Amino acid sequence: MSSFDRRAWLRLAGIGALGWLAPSLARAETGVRRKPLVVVVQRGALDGLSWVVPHGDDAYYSARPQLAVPAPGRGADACLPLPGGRFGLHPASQPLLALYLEGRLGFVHAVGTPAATRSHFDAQDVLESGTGGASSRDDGFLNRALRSAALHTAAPQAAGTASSAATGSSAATLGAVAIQSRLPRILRGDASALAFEKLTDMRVRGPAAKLVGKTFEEMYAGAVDEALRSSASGAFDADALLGRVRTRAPSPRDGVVYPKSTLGRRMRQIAQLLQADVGVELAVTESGGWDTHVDQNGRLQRGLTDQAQALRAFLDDLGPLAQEVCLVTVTEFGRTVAQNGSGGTDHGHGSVMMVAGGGVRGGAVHSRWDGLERDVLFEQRDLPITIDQRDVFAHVLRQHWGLGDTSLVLPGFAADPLLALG
Amino acid sequence: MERLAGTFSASYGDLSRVYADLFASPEFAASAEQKTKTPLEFVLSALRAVGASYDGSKPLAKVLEQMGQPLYQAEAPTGYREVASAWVNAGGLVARLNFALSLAENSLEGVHFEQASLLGDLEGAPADWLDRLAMRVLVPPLSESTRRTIVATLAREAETKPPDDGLVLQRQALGLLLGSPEFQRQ
Repeated sequence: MSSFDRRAWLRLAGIGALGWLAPSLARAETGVRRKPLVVVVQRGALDGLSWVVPHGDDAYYSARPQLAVPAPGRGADACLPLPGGRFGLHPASQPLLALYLEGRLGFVHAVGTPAATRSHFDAQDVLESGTGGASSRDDGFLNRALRSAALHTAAPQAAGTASSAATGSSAATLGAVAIQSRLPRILRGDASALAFEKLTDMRVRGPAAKLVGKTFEEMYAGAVDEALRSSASGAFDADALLGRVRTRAPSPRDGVVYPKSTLGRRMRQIAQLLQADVGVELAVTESGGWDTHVDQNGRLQRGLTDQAQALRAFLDDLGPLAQEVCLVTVTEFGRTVAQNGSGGTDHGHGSVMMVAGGGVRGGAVHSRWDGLERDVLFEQRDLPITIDQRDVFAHVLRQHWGLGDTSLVLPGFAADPLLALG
Repeated sequence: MERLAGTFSASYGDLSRVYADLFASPEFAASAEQKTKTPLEFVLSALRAVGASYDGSKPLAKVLEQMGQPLYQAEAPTGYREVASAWVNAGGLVARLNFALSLAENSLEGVHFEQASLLGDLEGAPADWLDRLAMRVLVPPLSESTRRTIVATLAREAETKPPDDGLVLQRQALGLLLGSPEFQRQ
């Protein structure tokens, strides 16, 4: 495809001069809080070709005689047609279809990191560091994004100002959270971020918990070690805030039912945090079970059902607040176009990202789709990456958070002008 | 470093002499208790401090994961990290405090220690036995402020508990000591 054709296709797909997201007020300029960004990392390499099915491509069906999701109208397990005729949605994702048709949710296809690795670890490292390749950096790009707002204020900024702003916000508000037991790489770094699996995890438990908690608080307030002292004060501040969250948003909105799963519980807690208005600007969590080397259809049926129910419940639960939120899903890489000998697919290259929320120009599968014929595939076997994940994130950070310059967040990365400017 | 390099050269590479000089150096002595325990070090040192037996049940692995150091899952390619900032964070610290309290209460699955032998002889007012208990479980001395805080808490608890209520105060003191800033030091 020539670049002119590509440009035409991008316009067609909805990536135009105004971008995918309506711009929001920049925190940098206004000092106001950033709108909430929620990122779900799908660990294990989700098969984008099953989630958003290229049912218009014959090559898809010849590469996967037993595994392909049937084209619309071909049986009970056929994919759900998406307007445009090329793609369909996996039937287990049915709860997301209405959001797509309303234009509140869209997909980016054939997207990924440019690193040619098929190792989960390496690819997650590349994804989360935001460097596009092997890197000695220890921090995650979303942590750098948290600090970047301060870097773009009018007044000259010293490095210390950014970190003291981060520390200050941790005392008063929650800022950035990961709803999982460990802080993921993507959120690690100098800006303060808190990881917990449950809203009650910050509590000291056991007999006389209240008094014992107070005692620890006093003990650590006098601790000589600065790191211990500040972690402890962060923990006790967070517990006080999470206590408010638990009482302010005790149960989901009427009619909203989350799946009884890890992801369901995590999305519910993110909704609780956002509803309670305790200052959460960035929430990260993760899902697993996507490494479908065997029994792919059964596993994806379960996994995608759970995911669609959890994400739909989350957006419904937020109610009007969903207008303010941007929800992004990302996986480390996709899977082979061809099925393997054990009813699954192996580690591949390009996959799918989902973007949803009020400012999203949804209702489209944004892509530079060149088909699935062997000669266009990456190393003649995998879906090629035609859009860098960092393009999507750069766009989200600019439009949703008003970040003017993403060069510190995504070092060495020049966002694709075709995507940004149309 | 230069002195050690000198020893290395002078001894024609005799590593045992280099180590002997290293361990005898004032810098080495001064480095003690300056670092924070990793979660694994914290959990193991707490089990040893109370003389606990452990049957290998899974809950301790879960505890380590909550503290941020899942067993056998060091991150590729650099492995478990060497700096305190990786281990000391709000969530991990609360997990340590809760582990300390549960251990002191003997309420961790698969873990047990003899309360009577560790705590049984601690009688009278907490201020009288707290230092003895601290000597048994802590390597660094108990700081005056930590000591004062624990004594004040135990005094308040003593008012609300009947005097013959088993070893409640002693267990509580143990939990507070294992959760104290002092016990987090390597």
